[in-house]
Amino acid sequence: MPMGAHTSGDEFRASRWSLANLAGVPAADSDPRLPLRELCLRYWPPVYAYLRRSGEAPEVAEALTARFMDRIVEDRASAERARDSRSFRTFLLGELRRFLGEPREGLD
Amino acid sequence: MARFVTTHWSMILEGRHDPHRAREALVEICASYRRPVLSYLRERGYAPADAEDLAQEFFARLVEQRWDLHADPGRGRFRSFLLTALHRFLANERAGRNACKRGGGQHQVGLDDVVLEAPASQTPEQAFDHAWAMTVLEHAGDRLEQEARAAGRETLFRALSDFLIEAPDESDYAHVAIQLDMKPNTVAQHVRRLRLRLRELIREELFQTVTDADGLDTELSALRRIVGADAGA
Repeated sequence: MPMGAHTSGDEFRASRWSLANLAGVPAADSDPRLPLRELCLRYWPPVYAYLRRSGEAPEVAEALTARFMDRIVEDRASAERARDSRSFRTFLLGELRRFLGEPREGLD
Repeated sequence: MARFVTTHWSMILEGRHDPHRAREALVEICASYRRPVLSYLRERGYAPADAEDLAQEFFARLVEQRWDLHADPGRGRFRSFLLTALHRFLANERAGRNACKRGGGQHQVGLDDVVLEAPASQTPEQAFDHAWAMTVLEHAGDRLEQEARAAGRETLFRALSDFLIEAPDESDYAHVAIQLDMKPNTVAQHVRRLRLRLRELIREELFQTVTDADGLDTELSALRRIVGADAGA
């Protein structure tokens, strides 16, 4: 899937970061998109780094990271909020702050 | 679709007082989780054969060293326990490997090193952004390496991979040109091609995480801001 400077709407609809993924609808075997779960598995380092920088010990940060990923994959309210997010990065950080009970600030 | 299922606590708990039952349970769990663990390892950039070896070693240790005895159902889902065990296993594997050799085929982020080496003034949000950028670059870099390997250009890729993020100078080219028995101009052309391809792969990686063209532009800007103007994005 070569990406040029101009990306068509069709290509974006084929993005892994799609509403079908967010709604937890399983992808067909022939679907090249990764589901949200796989995206979470790929992007655990930012979550872990945030927790470590917040002062958590490595084993606590690991456990919290895994628990957090479980939650955002399985929580329907997370999926609802994801629909309003423009990127997985801002979604992930917003959900992490929420998960940790911190006040939510503007992202980016 | 591979999934981490969450129904194995009862098997683990039943096996606590019955070693034979515990072993049966662990073997069954290994069979159930083989695909998601393999998928996870592949996602982390391990080649198929390495992922197979690592998964086998991971499950062998899980059974032999009875990691289940340290598992606490009160602390979360079984999947979380297994992922934590897998993270720890990979960290130990990396530590062992790095003690033997520097570099090699892995592009794993030494995350604790990155976090601890960062300035003390770094906020959790900055640590998040930095690790996010590293993950994007790592995955794009892994794909570039896979393409080079598929094209039979692994040696060339390894010699030039240090030049892909930070622009090299003339003396760098001259040194590598001797090493590869090429003209410096040819080396420069290869680097230019690889950097262009890396840029495309970074866009593809980011494309997986956005919903529209504006989102892609925002993420590219964020990546540039975080890693600096030489990110190749």
